[in-house]
Amino acid sequence: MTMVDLKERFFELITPPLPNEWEVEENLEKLRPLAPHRQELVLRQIPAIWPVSNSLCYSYLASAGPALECLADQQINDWVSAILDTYEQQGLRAAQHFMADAETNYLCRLRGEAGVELAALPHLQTYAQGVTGQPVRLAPGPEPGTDTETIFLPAKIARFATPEENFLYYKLLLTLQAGLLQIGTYQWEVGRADPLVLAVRATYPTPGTPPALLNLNDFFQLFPNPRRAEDLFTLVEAQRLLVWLAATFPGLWRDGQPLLQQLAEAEADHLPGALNDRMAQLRGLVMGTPASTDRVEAGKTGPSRPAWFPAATSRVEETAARTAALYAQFANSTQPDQAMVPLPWLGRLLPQAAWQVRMRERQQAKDKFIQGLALLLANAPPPTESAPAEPVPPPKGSNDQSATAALVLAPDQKSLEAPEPQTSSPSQNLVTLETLAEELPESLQELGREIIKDLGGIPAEYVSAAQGLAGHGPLALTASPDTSGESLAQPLTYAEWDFRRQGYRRDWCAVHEKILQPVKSSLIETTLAKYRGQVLQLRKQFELLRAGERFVRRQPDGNDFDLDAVIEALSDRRAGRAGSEQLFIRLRRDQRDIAVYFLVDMSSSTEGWINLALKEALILTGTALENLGDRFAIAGFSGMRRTRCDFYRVKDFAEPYNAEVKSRICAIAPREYTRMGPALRHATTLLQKVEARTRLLFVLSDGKPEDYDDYKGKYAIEDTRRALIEAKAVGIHPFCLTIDRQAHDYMAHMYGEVNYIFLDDVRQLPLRMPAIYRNLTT
Amino acid sequence: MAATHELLMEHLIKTEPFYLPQGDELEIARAAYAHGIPLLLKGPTGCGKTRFMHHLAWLLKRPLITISCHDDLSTSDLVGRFLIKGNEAVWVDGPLTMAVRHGAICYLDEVVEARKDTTVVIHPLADDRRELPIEKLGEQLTAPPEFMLAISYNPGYQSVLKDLKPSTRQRFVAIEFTYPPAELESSIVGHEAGVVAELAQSLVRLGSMTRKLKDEGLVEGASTRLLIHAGKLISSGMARRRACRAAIVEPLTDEPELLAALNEMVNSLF
Ligand SMILES: Nc1ncnc2c1ncn2[C@@H]1O[C@H](COP(=O)(O)OP(=O)(O)OP(=O)(O)O)[C@@H](O)[C@H]1O
Ligand SMILES: [Mg+2]
Repeated sequence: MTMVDLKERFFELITPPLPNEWEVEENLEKLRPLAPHRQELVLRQIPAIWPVSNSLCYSYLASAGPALECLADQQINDWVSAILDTYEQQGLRAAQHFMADAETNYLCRLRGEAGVELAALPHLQTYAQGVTGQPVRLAPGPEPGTDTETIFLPAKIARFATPEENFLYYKLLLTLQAGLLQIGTYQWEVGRADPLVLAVRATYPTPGTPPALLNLNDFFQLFPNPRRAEDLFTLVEAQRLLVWLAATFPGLWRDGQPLLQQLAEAEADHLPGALNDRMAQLRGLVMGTPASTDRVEAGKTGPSRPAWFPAATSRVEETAARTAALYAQFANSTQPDQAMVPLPWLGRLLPQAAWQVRMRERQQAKDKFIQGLALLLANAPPPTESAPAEPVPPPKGSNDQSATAALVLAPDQKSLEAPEPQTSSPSQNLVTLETLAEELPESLQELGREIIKDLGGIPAEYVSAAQGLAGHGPLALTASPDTSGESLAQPLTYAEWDFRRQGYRRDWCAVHEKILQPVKSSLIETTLAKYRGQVLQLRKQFELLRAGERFVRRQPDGNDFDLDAVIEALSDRRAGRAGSEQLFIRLRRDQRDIAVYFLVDMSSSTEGWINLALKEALILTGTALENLGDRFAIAGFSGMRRTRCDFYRVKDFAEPYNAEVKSRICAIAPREYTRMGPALRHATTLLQKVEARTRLLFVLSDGKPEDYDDYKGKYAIEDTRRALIEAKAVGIHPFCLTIDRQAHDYMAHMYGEVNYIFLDDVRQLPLRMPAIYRNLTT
Repeated sequence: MAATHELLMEHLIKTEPFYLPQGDELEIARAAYAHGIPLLLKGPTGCGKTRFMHHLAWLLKRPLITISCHDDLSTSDLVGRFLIKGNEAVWVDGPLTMAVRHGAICYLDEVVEARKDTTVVIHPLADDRRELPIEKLGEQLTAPPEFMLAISYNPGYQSVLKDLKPSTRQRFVAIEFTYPPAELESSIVGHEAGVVAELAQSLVRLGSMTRKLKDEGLVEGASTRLLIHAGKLISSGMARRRACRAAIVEPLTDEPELLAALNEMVNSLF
């Protein structure tokens, strides 16, 4: 409908007093892009709204367009009733807010619980790690995207009707972003003398010179309308990405089809933004909007594929070249051209952010490599070695950027390099690992390989910097301290897991080992008396578990003759009968070989009943284990801030369970905070040194881990979980017994479903603990 | 004697076992064999160590005697013992002695599982003496040039305890096995499971995805062996996702979150 038609229709539908024409026109303007039948649908609601409030009606006209993107025709009636309800109950502002986001405010509610939240999908992180093969972080963001380190995904997805579909869409979004990392979109760099760059610059001359090496963003800047270049590149690359997806993850591709189709159909109804014909056609092709080519044919030359887009590209270089070609063709179009609304399942590319990450990684690798190499050189005997002895002079007078740029080039890419007066041929400035040294430690070699992968070689500058550093007397270099020492005086440091960056904070926590001063107390006697009956029973039960080495007699072979059997057999033979041939004794070892570390929470929250119950539990368990012969150690932990994580050793493995140990158990008392991670890590280190077939780390705690500083909430939970995973990775079985008023959702996540028991009645603890231990170890 | 010889001939591998080399391991092994140096194979489970030994034995045309080690394995289990036959005590060679006497290849699989007091009997055999003392017979056997000793272990799990003593490991030429590169592994899976290349590639992709989850708590990813199992289930008609779940995902872990993530990988791939 034209504006005149729209206005006419509007005035037909409303009752006096009649409004200003210009006011009407301004609000009707928003309806113009809609298809005529949808315009009519919107207009038909006016008689219901106008009499209630004119302002509400105008807001309605303004919001209806976007709302229709996600509403089906038959839902408009209901939606308008909901608007009116909101208006009547909460006023104009609330109604306007309600209308502004039909998706979350109306559809989600309609669908009930169909929405899925990123925070509730921890296994998506593991999935991402598997797909990308590198540690990536997932974080909520307004639209999907990645800077190569973090993948951004919407915090919540409720676009589809069922939770399964919404989850699938998460997976699809995530896999596509991971795909960008796999297909090398963000790795692309092009030399300033590359024919493509030269051609583009010849067509669109600008003053200034681009950098020697262009990243994706620099490439877009070569065009008069960089955003259009970006949009074209995105569309072409998206096509390549889909081909990758279909080939690499056919299952997801198949499962995802209905979702992609829904999105494409929604787009066919309402094309976002005004694009010129060609661009719209290209977008339709990529989105798979009903009118365009079947995307499954993406890799092939389909019959309906336009001549200017013969097939998906197969390398990012090709995408760039195609971008330039399309850009040139589209430039002839006289139609207006706006920035494209991002593809719903891809979002905008983030080349600038990716570049920054890459530069940061490059710098980090450089620093680490130089430090490592310097350490090596400083400790090496004076230069008798042949290969690396010759110091390589740093490229003189070159500013940082051009030096890096020159070094970036692999020798066989020399042609890309425009003559740079201040640097010599790049191949001379790159060092290979072999020329560097024969015997680089593995960690340094790996770092070197990473650098070579990135830069094509090790820049000579790195080596000379390391040589410089190594020559400067006593080194200020610190290797990560050895955590195997056992001295009580020296605090040990441990790394801590920061889930926000999916990485460790190195040497973050200092663990101070302390010995608990024994206290005189009658607790042992009173406890044993209190549970007298049960103690006897426990002894019996645990004795049954105890099976050491035993001899089995009358075996066909063994370590020694079974004299009884031999004599019997000999006499049998003398008697003319066939004697037995089972004449040996064999030592059978089915001995228990278990070492367990009990780690006890000594935080202030255990004050009172819990602390008493913990001690009683330890006394009963200790008594039972003494009978059984399993080796055990006990330690308590508490502390304040990462700089003081106290670890109180109560009993070591080698120590007998004697009066001294018992009086140390009595000294277990509530102290400060619960920083679980370092205590777990320290106990893991200690437990690893014990020779035992089964090593168990038994943690007793109450409630959530928490420290005085920012060690709380999700951070603390994730670090604790991590520390437990680390223990498992070295073959230790962690088990957590936690006392709390009620069970919490976080527990299963933090401890792992099968590795914890939750106890809400603290009085049960003393007897439950030995029972749990027995179950765990049989 | 004739009987043992016959027994030994059963261990001779007559048809070439399918083996695709990962690198120069066959050359190294042949060189070691020529100089009478024993072999140490290390690598994760199911990556082809046993298969390699079979192939090597076939190449060298020597019988292969494999002993799977466990912690009840005693010295007599390896060397031999007296048994009473009829009215007299008869000496019976253990597999190691048998291999030494007849110049066979003796392969001790998962050697770290054996107790340390058992492993020491191979020491004199593994250095340039190449001798096997048989205490109970008062005999000192010297190995003929055809004899070869090989041991294997998986350095991946149970770190501190299940490690070889330096005095043991420093007698060997070591070959490190890892999971083969994707293309090679695809051919192996394709051949062993009898599946088409496209499917073998997807299985290998799944395998390599599971091998990157150490940080997420999965200590060992799917071995080539597991991938072959899944391929076999599929080639006998089981649906792909189902087969991967049964043969790969479930054997890997019991952790619910890991299971969920692994299942999603399967769903994406198949
Ligand atoms: N290079 C290879 N060539 C041919 N087949 C291979 C190769 N690597 C692995 N395989 C296949 O993988 C399967 C498992 O390998 P194998 O049994 O040799 O593993 P392993 O290293 O001995 O494992 P474990 O340590 O668990 O005993 C073999 O049955 C074989 O089918
Ligand atoms: Mg094997």
